[in-house]
Amino acid sequence: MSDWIQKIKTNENEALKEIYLLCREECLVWLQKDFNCSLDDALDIFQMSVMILYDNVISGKLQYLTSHIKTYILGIARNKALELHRSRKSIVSDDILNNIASYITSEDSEVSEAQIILASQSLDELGDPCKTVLIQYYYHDKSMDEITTLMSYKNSDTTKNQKYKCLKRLQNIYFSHTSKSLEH
Amino acid sequence: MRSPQEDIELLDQYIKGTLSTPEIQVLELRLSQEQDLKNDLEALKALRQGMRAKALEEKMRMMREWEEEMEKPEISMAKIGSETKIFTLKKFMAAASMVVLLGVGWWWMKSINEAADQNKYAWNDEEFYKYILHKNERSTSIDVNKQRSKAYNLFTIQEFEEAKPQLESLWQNNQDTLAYFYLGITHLSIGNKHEAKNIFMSPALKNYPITDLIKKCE
Repeated sequence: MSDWIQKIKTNENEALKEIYLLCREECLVWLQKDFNCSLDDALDIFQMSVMILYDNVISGKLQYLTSHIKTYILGIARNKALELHRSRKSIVSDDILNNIASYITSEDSEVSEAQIILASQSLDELGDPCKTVLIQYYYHDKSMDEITTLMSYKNSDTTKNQKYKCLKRLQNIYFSHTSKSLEH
Repeated sequence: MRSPQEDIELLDQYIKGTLSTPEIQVLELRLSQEQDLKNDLEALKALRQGMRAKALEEKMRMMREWEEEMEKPEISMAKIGSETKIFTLKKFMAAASMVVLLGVGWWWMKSINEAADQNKYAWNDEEFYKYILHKNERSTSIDVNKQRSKAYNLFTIQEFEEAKPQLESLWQNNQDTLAYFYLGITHLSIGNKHEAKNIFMSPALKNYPITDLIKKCE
């Protein structure tokens, strides 16, 4: 049952595509039939559901699957479809980042959607390799040794210094954005 | 970020939940007293979620790319569908053109036939049978072959279209003047007045009752 989780951890893109293709048709038909969703809404909900599955695996929230992967995806999709009906408006806007920020704040109330969007935009400005180093460390929870190998750095001390410098640069960009937001 | 690297690492561990209880207590005490450290923690929390958002955004974009890839064959299918529609339309147009052509052809043939019908000479039996001469000829000739018999009989029962090639053959191959006379009447009967007149004017038929027939060709 938890084979999919291991697959996501070892080869995430390939595993996600496999899951995506496995569940897509059934989920879309089900959302349209049982929840009266439009095809566009059904597709957005389905993609969000696969994304949440991935997020749950990476964050460690989902360590074992006690049901079929389809059942898990349909479970998430069901909640999203109900959310859609409750709000009586599209839960998904055209802006992917807004949707993700909305999803994250629904789980973590310590940060606002605006902060998440600013932080994400700051990351784009920061660029690679810093962006990758930070995402690997903070989101994927990779160790310094793993990042050293991944980035082909000299040693873990170099990676540690690099990570600190990157974070400092990122924070400067982020603060410059927040101060601009405050000015406006 | 104003905190030193050691403090940032401490904040990282605090956020990740890897600090021990005594370490947490010490840090939380510091956070209540040091504004810069507190600001760095708040920023770090937001940035961490920003990193999460960025990672998830990449996956969402990847899924949208898969959808676009999946739509490509659909687009192709739609294109094929439209081509099929065009092809069907072409077939329909071709069929319609054929129908129109056949219709025009039929109408044209009908017009010709009607024109020919108008030119056809309508015989009454008495008038027609006075030109049936072969009984007499047959009575005087014992060499009438089957072809002649067939041609003459077809002419007699006024099956002109069928009699025509037989009569032509008898004239061309056997110089049968009666067959030629009948051929003239046949042309007159089917509306070919010009051909009929030419035949009746022929010196070969100078001994045949052609005067009234030539008048009928005018």
